[in-house]
Amino acid sequence: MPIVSANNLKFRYASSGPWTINDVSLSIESGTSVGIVGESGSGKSTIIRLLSGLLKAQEGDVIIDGKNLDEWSKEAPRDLRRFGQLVFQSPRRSFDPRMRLGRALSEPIRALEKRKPNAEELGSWMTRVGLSPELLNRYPHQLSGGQLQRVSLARAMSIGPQVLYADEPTSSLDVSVQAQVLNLLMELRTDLGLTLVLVSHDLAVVGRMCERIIVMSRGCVVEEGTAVDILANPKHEYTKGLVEAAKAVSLKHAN
Amino acid sequence: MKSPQLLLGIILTGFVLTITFVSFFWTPWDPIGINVEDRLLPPNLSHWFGTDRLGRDLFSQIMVGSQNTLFVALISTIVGAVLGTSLGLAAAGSGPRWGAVITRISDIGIALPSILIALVLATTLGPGRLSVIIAISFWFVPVTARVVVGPARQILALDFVEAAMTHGRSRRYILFRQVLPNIAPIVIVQTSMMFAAGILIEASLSFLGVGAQPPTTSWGKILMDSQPLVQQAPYYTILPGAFIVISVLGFNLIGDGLSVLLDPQQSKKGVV
Amino acid sequence: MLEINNLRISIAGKTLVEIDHLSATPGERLGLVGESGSGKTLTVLSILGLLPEMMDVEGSITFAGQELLGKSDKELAKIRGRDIAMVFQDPSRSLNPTMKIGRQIGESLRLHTDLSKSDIKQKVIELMHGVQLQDPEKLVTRYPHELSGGQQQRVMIAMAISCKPSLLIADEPTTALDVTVQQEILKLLLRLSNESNMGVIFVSHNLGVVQAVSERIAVMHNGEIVELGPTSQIIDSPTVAYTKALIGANPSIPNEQELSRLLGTRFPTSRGE
Repeated sequence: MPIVSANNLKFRYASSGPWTINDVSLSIESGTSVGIVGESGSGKSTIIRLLSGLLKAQEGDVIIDGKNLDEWSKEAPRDLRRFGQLVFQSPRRSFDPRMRLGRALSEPIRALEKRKPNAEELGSWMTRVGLSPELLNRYPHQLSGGQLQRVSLARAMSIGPQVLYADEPTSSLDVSVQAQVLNLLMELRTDLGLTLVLVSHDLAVVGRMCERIIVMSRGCVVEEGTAVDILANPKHEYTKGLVEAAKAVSLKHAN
Repeated sequence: MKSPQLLLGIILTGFVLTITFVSFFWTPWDPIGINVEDRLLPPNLSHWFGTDRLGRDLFSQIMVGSQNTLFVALISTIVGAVLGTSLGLAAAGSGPRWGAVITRISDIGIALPSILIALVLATTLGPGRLSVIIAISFWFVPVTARVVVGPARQILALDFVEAAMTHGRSRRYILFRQVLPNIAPIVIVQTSMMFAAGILIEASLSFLGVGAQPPTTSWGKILMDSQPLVQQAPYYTILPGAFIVISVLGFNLIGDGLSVLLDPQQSKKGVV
Repeated sequence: MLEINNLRISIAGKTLVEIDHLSATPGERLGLVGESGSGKTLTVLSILGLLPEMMDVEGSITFAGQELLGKSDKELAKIRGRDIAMVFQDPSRSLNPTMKIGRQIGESLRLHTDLSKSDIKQKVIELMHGVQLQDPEKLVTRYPHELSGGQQQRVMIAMAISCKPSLLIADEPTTALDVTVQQEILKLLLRLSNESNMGVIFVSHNLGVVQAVSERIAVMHNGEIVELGPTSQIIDSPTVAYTKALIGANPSIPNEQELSRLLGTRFPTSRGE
């Protein structure tokens, strides 16, 4: 049974005008890693906010672990937040500049488990993501983008979500750091049995990390399938164009 | 010295505040001690600032007058800052419709001249300190709300606010524990500027006879009393006026200096 | 055509860029690749004298025999736009938000040529056709913010090539764009370069994009050129460790067999983790 699914979702930010999400249906199986790819304006960032319950669609349903999103919001809003966590594109912008990292890291636990985690607990999460617990005393501006993104991951994982939505988690990072963060993401996923929904514009990354790929364009799902299906044998015209362009601008080498 | 304005501001306000503080315990003469024989004496060694038309020592009057002026300014500023900031945060945090309503209301509030409102209120409520405080606060609240709304909205659009929502933090928590600390510099500077404005408005209202009523005195009232005697006793007008200028200037400079010091990035963007 | 010798850019005594020698022949497409902080942008800014005032520059940069370093701003202004043109990553840096794009494209022509107003108008339309902007007559009266990222970039390129420069410097021109648009912009640059024998210096941190456009590649790291050579040599047989690390960090799209094999495996990192 899918852990998260969407049926005929329609969503727009304004009260009139074009739909950002235009009749989208998809399903995510528990424990899998799914990539959502698309270009700007495709709605890929919006769809994960709808799936996680951060935004509410004007039409259609979102079913999380068998229950409708509306029921979750009414009966157990905190559990809804605990079920799925997000990691954002710009690590620097996802931290309150005036909060020390130790405090920032403890935010989900404070808000959702109503307790204050002690130094050991926070420290062990930092070690888990490959950072020194000393950094807990620092402010966000004192860490590099890659380090901050690791803290971001620790923060999201700290309350044990079942699903992790990662919105372009490495796009604002230097190329040499991207690999490290992605590897960490893969590790955490296998260790904790997480369902991963990875939004990216980078087909190379998605091809390596995701079992299934969903291709979006202008608010609609254009094609979906396994990584091999989409990248090696795309069927839809748009997907073909996308894959061809991605190959043209990515590195090609003999080995 | 990072901010000469701040230093100058502190010196000026320090001077005024010291005088106010001392006035609670000691004044050279009894401020309401009428001594008609010594009326309208220019500044001399025994009466440093001279005497007024009833022979009362001007320096002592100014000292005691500062209590009232600063008290009124302080209360109005506190009310304005607290209510105005809360209103501004509420406007920023609510959806477009409520936000627009609150913004319109503050626009109207700002557009009405404070003196006019004060006069109307004084007529309705009767003259005196309380009316002045209400009148000034009535103007300060929308002004502060307006100043707070823009930056608050900017902060709300930032990713870490969205992150806080995913962690389950309520809207109120986010507004007061995340947005407010991030706009604190703006609120602090605004408060300083409002204090200066409060002094000026109080003085104006007392000058018009609407504010402090005898036996309470304020700088504005002294100015009012001095009006008919400007030619005879210029010091009578100049000295309270000078104190008004010094304190307004002082608090404005503090606001200026703080705005550069607290958040140089923001002042460049013109947010303050 | 362009020769950089013993270039040293420093600020307050600290050296930021140190290049012994780098040259480009007429019509050549040279790629300058490196991460942020490698000094690649500073290097190209120094060619046109666009470095911030607080930086010191020593050495020699000659273009078509003329020494560029030491020229006054006025003299450089004659070269900028006419002989050497530059395209940036962020269109908001080059495009004036309050000026219609038709007028902006014509700016260089107005500055460097004696063409009449109507001639310039016509040239602008031609240029827009040349960079594949649809419906130039309609777009001419639009403002930059009304255009998409890809269109804005094309406008910038049109501006840059309007006076037929012999050298075009492109600093991360495709980084913020979608891949399909990136592909088109790269094709456009290649075509323009071939048609008018225009040299291109293409600066980017994305090795794949640099590979697609360049004949030769210079790899920069910490302000120095660590490796220089023909594209195929750099990509297929790199000699320096940094270059190898950079190649490893730029993922390519695996083919069908590789896909199944690589799925779920770790990304190669420069530290070989």
